[in-house]
Amino acid sequence: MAANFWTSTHCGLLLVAREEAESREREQDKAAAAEADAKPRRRQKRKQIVLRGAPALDPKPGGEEGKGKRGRGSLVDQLVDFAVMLGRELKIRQRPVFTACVYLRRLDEKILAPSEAGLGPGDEKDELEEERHVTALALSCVYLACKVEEVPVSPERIAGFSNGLCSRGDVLDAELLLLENLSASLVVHHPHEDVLKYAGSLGLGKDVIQVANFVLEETYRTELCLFHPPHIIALGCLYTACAFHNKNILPWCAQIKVDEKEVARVCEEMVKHYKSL
Amino acid sequence: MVGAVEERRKRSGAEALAREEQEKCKEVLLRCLKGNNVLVGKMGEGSEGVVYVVESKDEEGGRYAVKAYKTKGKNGVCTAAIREIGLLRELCHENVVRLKEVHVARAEQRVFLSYEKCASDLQQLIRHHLAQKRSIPAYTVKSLLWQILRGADYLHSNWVMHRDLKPSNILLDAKEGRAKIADFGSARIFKKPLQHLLKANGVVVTLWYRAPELLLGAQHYTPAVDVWAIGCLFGELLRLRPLFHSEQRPQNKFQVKQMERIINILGRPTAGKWRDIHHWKHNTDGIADYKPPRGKARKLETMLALGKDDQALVLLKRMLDYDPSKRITAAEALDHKYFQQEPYAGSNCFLEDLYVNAEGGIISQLLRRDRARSGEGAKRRRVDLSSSSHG
Repeated sequence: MAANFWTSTHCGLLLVAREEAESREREQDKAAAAEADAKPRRRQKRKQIVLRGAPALDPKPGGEEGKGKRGRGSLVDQLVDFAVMLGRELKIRQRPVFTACVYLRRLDEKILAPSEAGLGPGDEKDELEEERHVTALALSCVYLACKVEEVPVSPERIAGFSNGLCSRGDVLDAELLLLENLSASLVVHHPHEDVLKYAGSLGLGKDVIQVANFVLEETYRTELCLFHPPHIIALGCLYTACAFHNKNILPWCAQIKVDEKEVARVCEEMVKHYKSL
Repeated sequence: MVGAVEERRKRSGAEALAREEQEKCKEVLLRCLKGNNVLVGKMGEGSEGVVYVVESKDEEGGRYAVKAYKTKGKNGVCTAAIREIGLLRELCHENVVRLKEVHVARAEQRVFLSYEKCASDLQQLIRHHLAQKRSIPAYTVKSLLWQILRGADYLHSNWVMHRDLKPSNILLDAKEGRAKIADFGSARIFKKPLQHLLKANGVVVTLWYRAPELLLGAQHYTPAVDVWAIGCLFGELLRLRPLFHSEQRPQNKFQVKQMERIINILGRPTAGKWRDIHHWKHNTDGIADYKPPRGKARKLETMLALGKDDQALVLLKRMLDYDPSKRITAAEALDHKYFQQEPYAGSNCFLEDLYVNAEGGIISQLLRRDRARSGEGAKRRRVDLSSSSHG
């Protein structure tokens, strides 16, 4: 629902995502012993291709990479960065761009790499094909999000951003793929409003809100939006921002009957994220 | 001569193409739907797609409606389809049509939406009564209005504006006697819009049901436009003919005729009636000194053959208030006196004795009390009888 988060598909997806993550973790623990690091390496290789002109992220040696397919620096993260950059370049409003980021994270891993099975290591043409596929997905996420948020852009403008890699047709094809893969849940709730609302009732100053908004922008580069409801993310950002001013809002969170542990976890994740940059 | 023949050939060629296209669409549709299905027929055709009726041959069975969207356009999946999918996935109310599934045929670039099946729509009901020259029973009118308002109230309280309410977009479930708001192709979430609404979406609402603020070119509008449309609908239910109908001028132009028609019936909007009127773009375009020609000015009460104190008329006038900020909201309308009078509105608009109200509102409470009282009385009498017979 547009106003009621608790009856929305967004809320339903959070619960599913949590369960999945838990089961995935369990599976990974099992698989970790058997399979060491066959796949991450190939993903690293794709990294430089996808982001034309984007500042390449240095892969962290060791630790971070082995954590899982969706760890920092994975393909999804790059695509999100790509989408944010695209939004900035084409002067698209923040809300549709963030919606697009959520779409990207919700996507099934399988469709991000459809030709994985038949791909030879040195196959030039396939690599280009795959690059096009992935880029088209990211572009059409932004395109679809703009439609959903009622600020339509032309597909030509979006496709033009890929430096001729994707045509308009590619973007439109990918749109259908998206629609299918997102199981048609298109309305996304964002924490921006909540930040202002909570800051208002906490009586926080402008500078704190500004910092909180910076943290909030950064949350879209993490997986938080998949597992936490928007109001928890908003509180987590405020908690992080308040920490700079030696203020602890956790007791207040407990007062308004919000799970403080969740809020603290959001903050923890953010700190971890900043450290990995 | 030759030109005419060629023209005909061209036209028949185009028709054949269109038919082929439709056949192909049907084929893809049946492939997309899971299970054993048979296509029964076509229900309607709009600018964005075709609605088919499909019968399931599985154990559960039953018929349902499927809307096939054209996606071959320039911009991929059309905005109407995106809106319908996005919003209907989130909405769940007994007076709003339920989206069952979304099917995507990627190879053929088509999107299908399957809904729960509704037998007819309000347009057909009105037409049927008009053909038979019988007005719709008061109970049915009231129940339909009550249900439509409930649906609209649900939408508005969830920040959704429908923006195309009209008889053909209200479906009727004949079995349960329930009205369902459908076709969310121009609906949108109006919470914190990123652009002002006129710029983002252009002209909305079918002309006859378009609110005056839209006619006068307002850049921002509120859910009050839906209430105006429901008011027009209400009038149409009572009268069997549209309240305000005029010819359409080319789009994006000021629809003078429609505005004049409204003025003929409701009188001229003045600054006293409508405080913000001088803000609208088309305020001065010929309506400032428009006077209804002789014999054209009519009154609502004579048009609808209602008494002056009839609550139906009072409510209708509140719904057709010029000033959108003073116009009654859907929630307020549900509390109006009209609904507290007999016959009470019910959840089944065709059966009067089913006064079940899911919300436990005044109506059902009153009824329960009444029933309890009459039940008690009956019992007491029976007891009396039995005691007397024993005695």
